[in-house]
Amino acid sequence: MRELVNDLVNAKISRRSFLAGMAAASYSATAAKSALAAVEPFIPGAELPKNYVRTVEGTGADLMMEQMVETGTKYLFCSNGSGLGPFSDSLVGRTDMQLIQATHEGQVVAIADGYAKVTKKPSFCMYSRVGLPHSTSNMYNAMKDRTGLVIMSDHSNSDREGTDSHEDIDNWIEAVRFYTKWRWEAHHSERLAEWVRRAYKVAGVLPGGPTALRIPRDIMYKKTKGAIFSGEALNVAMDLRPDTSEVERAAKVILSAKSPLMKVGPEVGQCEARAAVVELCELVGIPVIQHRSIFADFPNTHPLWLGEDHNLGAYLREYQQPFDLYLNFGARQEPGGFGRTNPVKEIHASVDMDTVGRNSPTVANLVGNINEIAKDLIEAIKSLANTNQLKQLAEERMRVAGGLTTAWQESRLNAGRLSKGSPVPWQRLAYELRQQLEPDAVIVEEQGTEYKSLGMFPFADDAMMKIGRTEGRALGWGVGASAGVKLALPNRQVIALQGDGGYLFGQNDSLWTMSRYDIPVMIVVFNNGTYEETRWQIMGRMGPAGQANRDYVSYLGNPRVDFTHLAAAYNIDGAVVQNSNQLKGAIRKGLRTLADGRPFMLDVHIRTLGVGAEVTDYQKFSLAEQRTRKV
Amino acid sequence: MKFLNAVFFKFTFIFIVLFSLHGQSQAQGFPESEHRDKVIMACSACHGLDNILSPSNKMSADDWEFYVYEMVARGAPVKPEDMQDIIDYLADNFSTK
Repeated sequence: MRELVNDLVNAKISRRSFLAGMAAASYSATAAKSALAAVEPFIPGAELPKNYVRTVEGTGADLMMEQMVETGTKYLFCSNGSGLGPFSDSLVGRTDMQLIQATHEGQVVAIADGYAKVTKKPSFCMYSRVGLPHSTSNMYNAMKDRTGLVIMSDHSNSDREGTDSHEDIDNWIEAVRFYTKWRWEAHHSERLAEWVRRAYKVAGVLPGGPTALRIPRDIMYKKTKGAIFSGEALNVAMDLRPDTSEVERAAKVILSAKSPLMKVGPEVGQCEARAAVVELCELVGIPVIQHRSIFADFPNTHPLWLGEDHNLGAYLREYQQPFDLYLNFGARQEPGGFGRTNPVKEIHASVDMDTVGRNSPTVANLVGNINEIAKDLIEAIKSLANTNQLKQLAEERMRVAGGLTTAWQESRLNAGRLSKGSPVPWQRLAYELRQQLEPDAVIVEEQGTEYKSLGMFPFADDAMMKIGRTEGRALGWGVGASAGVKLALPNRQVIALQGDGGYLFGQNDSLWTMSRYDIPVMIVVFNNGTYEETRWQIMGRMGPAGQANRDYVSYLGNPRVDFTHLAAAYNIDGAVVQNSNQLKGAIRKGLRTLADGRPFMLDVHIRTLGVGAEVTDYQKFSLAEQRTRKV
Repeated sequence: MKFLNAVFFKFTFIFIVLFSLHGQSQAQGFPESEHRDKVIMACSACHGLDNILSPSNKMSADDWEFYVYEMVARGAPVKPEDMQDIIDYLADNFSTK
């Protein structure tokens, strides 16, 4: 592609030859046209698109703001800091940029991250230089999810750099090296817009990830002038197609498989590839399970949906053909391969060439946009087998998997409906939510064992949407992310499903944001007074702590937090539910509050279960009793 | 109530071979009944059967109902018509009377 572009801008080839060359290099027609559009301004004699580039005079921050608006940025997610001064000055007189402020940098990143996960475009956040360490937990989450964020913090004035002086240490930017795709300390006012463009571009190209800019405050205040490019200049075509011969080979492997299985991962959602993946699976009758993902990457009410690994045994009992092909679509590989001790041959499809084939051997590697891969495979399979052959392949597997999927889903809902009592069984809460939520509600989830409640909700492109939990698993993300999701989808109901333990990792700061900006999200806290997953992990090992029935770090019951009191401090209404018979009314009240434009806190006391569920003691300590002076 | 120590740790990767030799030996502790096989299949899809057999895991009939509902809601592969049979079998054979 590089050579073609070079030849085009040097007038060695025509536009038509460029498009032909792109097609020969396996790029789709759309990708080729998009690339041509991006290069066109540089072709001798070509006309620039209107407003493609303009010169702006102002402060460095003015240039940055102009460039951000051109990228389509609508919200600037921020927290307080004197480094916001240059941006504050720039905002005077502007109506095209809205600040969304939070009171903690970690929640700023969570809000921006939720927004970016839905819009699938990088979002911009900025906060104080000394707030940067606060924010790295959710930066790490975004990096693990490959979510595009542009993160900016200010820096000491240029004359203080490298002096270990007030609010400064050496090598700040190194602190975020492992949580960012790209990072830069800027030192030239006239180039600030350029670095903004670069940060957006790198963050947004799949596989995405956070980028970090650090800019001395005096550079942002300095008067300068620079070039501002339109958003078209940043438009990188992402519909890259896989190698055609590899696609054909993979298609033959799929057609020769007697019992294929597909696992879908987050790149399916990131590439908006669900429809194409569904079509591919239906074409040959490939049952599907879900890898850990921030999205629901396959409709969980589809006849080919088997759900999770543990359901495969039941499917195989009825289909009676051991799996002989594993298609990994958009997930990172299992270490050692699928099946581990008796690995099944694998086809790996990923947009990330660093990920493909990384952890286990494969029979075919398909590198490209997942949507393009699925569409190309469909075409290749259709060219290799006729309709009757394909129907024959698909029919039996569709029948077997479909029967199970329908039965399991019915059982799940029955189990939820029949569960009752005080404290509330989690499955009853999930069931009642399903009954009352809008058909296209968005669930933002951060719980320890996430699948347990999510299985109750129907996720598909034309049904509910799932965002979360993060691949990084660093707690303290979900409440902030739900605010970002609601900002991206103001006309869809947004519900945050949150464990009490995860909530207490500093998420009150997002309540402030929700309250200030009227962001109507219902936060449902599954309040069981424990970090249940860590309790299972630690006590369940049956080491000395387990045998002594001692819970050292998981019990949260003293003090038992009343989350509605926390919400009330931010002028957010709420309800506490202690018995399943109170659920219907409380949920109804919450949804009415959302409709009125305000957030709502639903604090549901949930029954604990598993090892150590009854344990309420912990290593007691009272500093007050240790005192010799009662002051 | 120490039931499920291993449930949550073994929730994945147990498929393909449902009845391992170990599983078969564990299944010997399950009394004969027309519902025995469906109980074993449903439970062993996700965890070992020793959780049920262990004397320290004896539960009341109500607790069994709660746990079966919990497991099914969590995604245990159980058909609607089998759910009550599974609860009854576990309550009849493995509960504190």
